[in-house]
Amino acid sequence: MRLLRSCFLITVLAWTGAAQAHKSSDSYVWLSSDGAALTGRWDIALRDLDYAIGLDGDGDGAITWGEVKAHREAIAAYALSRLAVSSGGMRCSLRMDDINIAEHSDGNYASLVLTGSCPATILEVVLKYDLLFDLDAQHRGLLNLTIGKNGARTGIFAPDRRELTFEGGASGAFAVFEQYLREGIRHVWTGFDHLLFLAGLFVPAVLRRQRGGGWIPVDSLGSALRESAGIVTAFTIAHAATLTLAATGAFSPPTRIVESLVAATVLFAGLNNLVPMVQKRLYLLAGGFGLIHGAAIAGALIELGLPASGRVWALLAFNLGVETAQLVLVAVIVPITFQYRNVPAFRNWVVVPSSLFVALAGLAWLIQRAFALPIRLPV
Amino acid sequence: MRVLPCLLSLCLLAGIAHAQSAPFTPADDATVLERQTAPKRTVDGLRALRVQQRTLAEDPNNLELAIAFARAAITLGRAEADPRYFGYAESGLRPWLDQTAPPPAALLLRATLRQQRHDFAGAVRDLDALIAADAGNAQAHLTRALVLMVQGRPGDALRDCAALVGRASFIATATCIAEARSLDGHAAAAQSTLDAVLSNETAASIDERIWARTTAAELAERRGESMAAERHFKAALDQLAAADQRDPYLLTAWADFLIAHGRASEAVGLLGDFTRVDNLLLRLALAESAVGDARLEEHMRLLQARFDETRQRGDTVHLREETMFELRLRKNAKRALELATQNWRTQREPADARLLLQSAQASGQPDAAQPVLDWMQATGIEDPELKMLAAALHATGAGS
Repeated sequence: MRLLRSCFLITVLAWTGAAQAHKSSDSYVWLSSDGAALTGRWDIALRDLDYAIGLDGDGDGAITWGEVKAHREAIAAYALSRLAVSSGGMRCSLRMDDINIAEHSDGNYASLVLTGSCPATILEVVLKYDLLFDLDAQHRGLLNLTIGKNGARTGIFAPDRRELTFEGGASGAFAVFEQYLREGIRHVWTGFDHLLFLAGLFVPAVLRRQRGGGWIPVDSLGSALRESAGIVTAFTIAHAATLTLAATGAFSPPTRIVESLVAATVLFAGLNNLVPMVQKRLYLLAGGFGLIHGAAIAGALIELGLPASGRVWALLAFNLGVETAQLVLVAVIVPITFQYRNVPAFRNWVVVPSSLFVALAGLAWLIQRAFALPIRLPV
Repeated sequence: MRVLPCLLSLCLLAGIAHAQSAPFTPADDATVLERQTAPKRTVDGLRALRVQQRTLAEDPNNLELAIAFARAAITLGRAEADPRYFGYAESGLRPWLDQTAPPPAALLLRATLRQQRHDFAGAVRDLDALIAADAGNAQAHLTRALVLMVQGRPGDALRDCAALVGRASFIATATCIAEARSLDGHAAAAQSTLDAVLSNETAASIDERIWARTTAAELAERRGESMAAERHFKAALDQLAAADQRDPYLLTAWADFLIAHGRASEAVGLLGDFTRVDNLLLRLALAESAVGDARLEEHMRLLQARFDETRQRGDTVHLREETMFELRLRKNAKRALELATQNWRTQREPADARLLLQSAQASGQPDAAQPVLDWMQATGIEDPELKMLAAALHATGAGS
């Protein structure tokens, strides 16, 4: 016994100078999100996979590409059972689409191509990592995470730190603000009903149909811009009011009715250009419609998820984003249409058809939404 | 396929360590991606370790199984200089490691693992507790002696070595004492002790003989007796080869010896196969730099990537090697001095002292070497090279 012990003793000692000659075991995780979608790459040392699940099928001390491919499903099952992503308290899906090889400074790694999706746009992420800790307590997982368009952030998983949480797309009030401002702008650019409704409202800013027929061009670009800006601002203010109420849960309007009402406003905006019903104080009309639109967007915004801290900040940013996008539209479109306000072709081939199109789209949406029909709009 | 290696090196050139190594799909199923290069002994050892691991996994709270598994893993880790095995050992011991008072066998291994992670203070705390509970624990005394020597405390280490008398083998006790004395101003006595031990070494285990030989070689080299050093190194290498074993620590010391004596081309030949082992890769690069080998650039890139990756995971175990890298290969004296200063806080062997003195000299900051000068004064170490470096520093204004 003594001899055995002292053998071990001696073994323990001499290595102090050389103990860390190799690199320890690390895996590298890159994850990035776009909206609710996840993409990623995960590099795991072949040596580690071999120790954990056995890759060297023929036991010849060499791991070949063929052996890695043969264990593709086993590698996916092993790795994916040890990494969990959730956002807003809900688990996101994650799967391995492909497997490659990546060369690192200490050897070859299996490089897993990952895709996945979360139930809603990813703003706050919780990652749970459990790879190899049961086998190698000195293993570390090195994470590089990008949420949306925010800069990459890093983290290290260790046996005593298996869970990492990343808040609100980026940390800090400013980052939350920026993120929601972007979302607000995106909402206008990508929301077709929103764009059509605005188009319906802007067109008469330079050329107005009189009651009983005939068109009157406006006198100056300044007044056209002022009026358009007034319309969109009134719209945004009203929009912000209901949006805030709905998003904070103060009231929850029935989705179908609200969506139908939005369609009705689009229909009305289109018709109003062709058959003038409201011509004075258009901003009041826009404000009224803004109330309806705000209630509708609340649903989308709730789905997007609001950060636990800085809700008000986020809502303000979102509405400012909407307003910014609208004002940009006004600033670009109104001067152009103003140039052509006296050209008959503009009236006949742009104003009338586009108003007609807006009205028809609104009508189709109204029918679809009110009766919950599965109509696909030809737009 | 040509494009990929090309892309890879471009990315490495960009200096972004792992983030840029673009994944690829090997063209042929037969492409070997990973090869076990260890001697048969280690391959068999790893196979046996896996079996032990599975047995332990079925009965994870069995202390006896866990201790046996951890010892086997640590032995392999030392032979291969591979920290993964220490991680395996730690995992096997998990149920006991976080206890306030683990069983003595587990506590000893915790100290060993802490030592391996360069948590020397933590290791000493564990060993203090072990020795307080059982003053006759030879293993604890020996391990503590070695940690204390790494911490530059030969006087304290000597007390632990003395406690081995009658409790450990003669050769282990004598080598321990000789090593401690070689650091505290009694190098000549230490050397004659070691010579006496080595003249009657056949009864000792191979591990013990290699340890005694390596210590003797390093001591002779420090005293400027390079012929004697070479004789010890060669004897140790022959014994290892005969036993089909490897000792990365010995190989590192031998490579340092070759490079120091203008025999870098021998070192290049010796180390070509060891690019996986960071310490040996560093020696290979140093040797390549001395002989003007074309692979130097590639090996320096690899080293830089490994240092970066080690730092990323929050380890500071490579400070000595990184200092050498900055000082001797990148010629960045300022960075070398930062690293050497940081290293000196925990590691205080003659090699660490040398690096801090040289970095201070090279960066024109002689005052930064004061801790080493104080340490030399306190221990009374006899080391001609250290003395020469200290004198050169003194000439540029240190210690005033």
